[in-house]
Order: sequence, then C-alpha cells, then structure tokens
Amino acid sequence: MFKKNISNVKVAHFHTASKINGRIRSNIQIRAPIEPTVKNIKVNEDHPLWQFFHEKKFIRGEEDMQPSSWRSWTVPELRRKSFDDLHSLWFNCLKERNILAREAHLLESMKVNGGAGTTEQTDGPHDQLSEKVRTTMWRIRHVLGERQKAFENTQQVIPEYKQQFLENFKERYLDEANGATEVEQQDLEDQLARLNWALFGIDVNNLQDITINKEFVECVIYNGNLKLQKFGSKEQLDSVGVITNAYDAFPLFTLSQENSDKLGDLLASIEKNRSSEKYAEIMKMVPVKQLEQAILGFEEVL
Amino acid sequence: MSNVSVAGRRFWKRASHDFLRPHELKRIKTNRLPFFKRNDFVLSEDEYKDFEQWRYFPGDRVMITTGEKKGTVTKVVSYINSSNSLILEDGPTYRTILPKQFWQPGTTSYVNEIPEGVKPQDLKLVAKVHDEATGKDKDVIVHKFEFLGKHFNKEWQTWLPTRVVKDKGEVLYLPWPAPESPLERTGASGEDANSERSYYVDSVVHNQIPKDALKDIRNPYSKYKRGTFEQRHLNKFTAPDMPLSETKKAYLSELEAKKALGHKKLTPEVKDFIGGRVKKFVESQKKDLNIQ
Repeated sequence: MFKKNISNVKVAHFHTASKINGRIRSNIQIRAPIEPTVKNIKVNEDHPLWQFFHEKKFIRGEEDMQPSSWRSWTVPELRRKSFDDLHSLWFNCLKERNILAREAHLLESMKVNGGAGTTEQTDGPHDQLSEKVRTTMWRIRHVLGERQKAFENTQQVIPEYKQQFLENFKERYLDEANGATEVEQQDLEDQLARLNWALFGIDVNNLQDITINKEFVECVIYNGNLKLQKFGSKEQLDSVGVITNAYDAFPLFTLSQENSDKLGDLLASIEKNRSSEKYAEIMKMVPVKQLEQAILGFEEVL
Repeated sequence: MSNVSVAGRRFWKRASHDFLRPHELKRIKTNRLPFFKRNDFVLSEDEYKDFEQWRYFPGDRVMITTGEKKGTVTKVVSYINSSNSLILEDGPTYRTILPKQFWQPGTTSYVNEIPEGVKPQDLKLVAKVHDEATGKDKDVIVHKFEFLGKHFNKEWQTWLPTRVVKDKGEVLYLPWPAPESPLERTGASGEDANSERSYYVDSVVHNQIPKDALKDIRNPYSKYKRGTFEQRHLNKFTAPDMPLSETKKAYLSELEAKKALGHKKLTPEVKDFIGGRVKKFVESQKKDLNIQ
C-alpha cells in the first residue's frame, strides 16, 4: 500500500548538478535537437574500420559475389612468389575474409535466405567465397612450410659439399681471371660477390651492418687467399704462404681489381704485424676475436 | 559457415537459432491464415546448381515448345532458383494480385501480369548459322546438344562447360552468350599476377623467411605432427609390479642371503675328501667289472 503511494507521486525537479551548472553558465542557449539518423553520423575517410568494407559499400551486390568466378591460388602458383608477396597476399585474404564475415553477419541478422550459412540450408555465396579464400591461406602456409623444410635439409647437407664447391670455384676463378678483359674481370667480381652471399651469407657490397661470426671469418679467409693468388706474384705467394687465420686474411679481403697495386704495401704490413710481440697472443684467440683485432689493427693501413 | 573459425562455429550456430520461444511459434502456426501450397517450388537440395542442369544462360536465344506461347523465339532473362525455371523476355505470364509494397514504377493496379517461369526441358536453343547459299546468317533450332569438357571463357573470366552439337561425326560448338558489358573484377588479382615469378633462391645460409614468422607458419598443435617417444610415455604404458606374497618374499630373502655368502674356495682337506670318495667309487667299479 505504502509502495503504491510512493510510485504515484510525481516529482519534477532539476538535478543538483544541473542547478549549479545553470548558475555558472546562465547564458546557455537552446539549440535545435540533433535528429538521431544515420545521415547525421560522419565518418572519416581514413577510419580504420573501413577495412571491413569492400570499397566503402554497405553490402556487395550479386554482380560482385559470383563464387564461380573466383578461385583460390594454386600451390604451384604460390611457389613462384617471394615471402613478401605471400605475406601481402595473406594480409589481403585476411581482410577479404573479414569483409565477407561482416556481410554474412549482416545478412544473417536480416534473415536473408542463403546469405549467410544457416544449418538447414546450403552455403550461401559468402561462405563459398570465404572457403576459397581460406584455401588460399592454408596453401600459403603450406608453401612456406615446404621452403623452410627445404632450407633445414640444406643446412644438414651443405657442410659435405661446401669445401669441394669452394675449391672448384677457386680453380675456375683463377683460370678465367688470367688474361681477362676489364668487362670479364667485373663479371668475375660479381660472381665472387654472389658466391659470398650464397655460401657464407655475406653481402660484400654492404659491410656496414655486418655481424662478425663464423661464416664471416670463413668468408674473409677464403677471399683473402683467393685474392692473394689472383694478384700476387710467385715470390709473394711463397713468402706469405697459405693464410689460415683471419688476422692475416682481413687486409687481403679488402683488396679489389681497382686497388690491386696496394698488394705490396699490404703484404709488408702483414709481415710487420707478424714480427710484433702482440702477434703470438692474437694467434691464440678464437678466429672471431682475431678478426676483430685485425679490423682495429689494420685500420691505419686500409 | 566457413567465415568463422572452427572454434567459433558452435557459437555462431547458437546465435543463428530462432529467437522465438516454442509457445510463440505454436501461436503463429495456429493463427496463420490458410494458404495454397504451390507445386512449382522444389526442395533446396533439388535446386539446380550447375550450368549442365540449367542448360541455358541468361542472354541465350530460345524457342518455347509448349503452352500458349509455343513457337515463340525469345531470350532468357534470368533464373528462378526456387522452381528450377527460367524467366523469358517474351515468355508466358500469369495474372496475380500484387501487394503495394511490390509495385514497380509505373504500376497502377493491384492486378498485374507477372512473368511465369519455364522449365529448361520446355525450351530449344536457337543458334545462328552462316548460310552459304544466301551469304547471310540464319536461325537454326538445335534439336539436341550436349556438354563436352570445360573451357576458360575469357568474356566471363571463368571456366564454363563447352556446349556442342554432334552430328554425323561432326562437332559444332555453341558459344555461351557474352555479358552485356565487359566484366570488371575489382576484388581479384590481375590476369598475369599468378605467373610472375618473384622467388629466387640465392643463398643457402640466408633464410628468406623471418625467424618470427616461423611460429605462425607451422602449427605446433597439428595432429599430423610426429612427436618423440620419451621415458614418461614408457612409464605411462608400463603396468606397475604386483605386490609380492609372504612366501615369495621369504624365498627371495633366502636367495639374497645365499647370494651374500658368495662362492667359497675349496680347502685342501675337502679336496682330499672328495678325491678319496671318487677313488673309492672308481675302484669299486673296477672290482665289479674285473678290470685291472
């Protein structure tokens, strides 16, 4: 009974905060009410949620949604593509699936027949297209998985063949360098650069952000010996011998066709360093440390 | 339902259920006005899906073989999926009452003529053949045609079945009608995008796949992944030892005790004793057999 009385009482009053607000800003003017329609909502052109729409369309028409005219990328086609291409394709597929899911959900809520997948009916165009895009996506993963497997298998096999391959290349390189023209010399330089990238993973033309590791040391020693044999005379070869450490090999590694006349100076500095007291200590170091010492020690000469 | 992940499907399923309660459904069914069931509708599983079933494509010229409009040559406009029939440009119509919300611009009356669907089997294809006698094209009605493999249709940019007429060992191709305006595929990749090569192996040391991408490429929880057999698996599949009985325990402890004693070396006295016994036996045997 008491409750009923309370509910019947009609009270009209301002909220305390509204009263205070009214006192402070007394000159508030009443504006026309903003109509709550979609037309009054403005969306930025670069709003991130536009990524869920196909060309900013609310929903695509039948002409854009013909499952028979779409097909998935095949595995052989994807095998031709680089990682970056596959990555961008994956990203596009993902966006497309998001768009399809949004449209399907919209149709589902509108209860349009066959628009979205309902359990009783056959799959609508959105589901068929989404399935095709999904197929492309698993195929991308499959192709990258294949590549990774091939790479790992190569890592197991390459130590067996690496030395033989390097020997063969050295033989051919020195043979062809003998009496080659300027253009042929440049070609051989390019070949050597490609070999360094292929077998040691060292980009000789970009040594700025290189990390000194086992592969780099191997690369330096191999290149040093190769250039010594290419540019050096028989007497010079006999006096220096085969270089087995990174400390001696580094100055020769920096040698090229243009500055090949510096070979005499470099060999002299190598001889000088060998006779110093520090040399015996450096030789006891691991090859990576040897190379670090060489880069610091030979800086003046180079 | 492939637009959601496998894990999300059951949530989707639940969300797509009808929100009406059973008693509400019952009320709707009982209060509904009676209606005539239409015979031309087919079940969803019987609906045509392939071009081989439809046989004609919108834009094809056809001749009607039955009904009032028998003999009319006209064009296919569209399909009606729900009744497996085709709408024709100048096909049969029926008079029906059209509610106002379905009125098209220009409609003035509730009673209207509506195009009626025609089944593909009530149609014959009309093709154009070059007549050498007159030097002009003439219309020919194709009595029977069939499908022979598939071909890539450049106009529609898709694979379509090839329609042919076989006559006296001769095969005549019936082209599909071209689209009214050239197709523009905005969503798909370009025509030659698939054949361009951008992947080259240039190093055996340098991996082109970034390290961080590897965990996304391979599914660590794949059901096809072969694991390694470890000791914990062996422990799991090995049955525990049964508890021993008291008798067995006593027997084993006896064995242990005997084992603990170890092997003793024979003393000279024992050796003499055994040797004496053997000699005695051998001599007794000799005596019995009279051997000297």
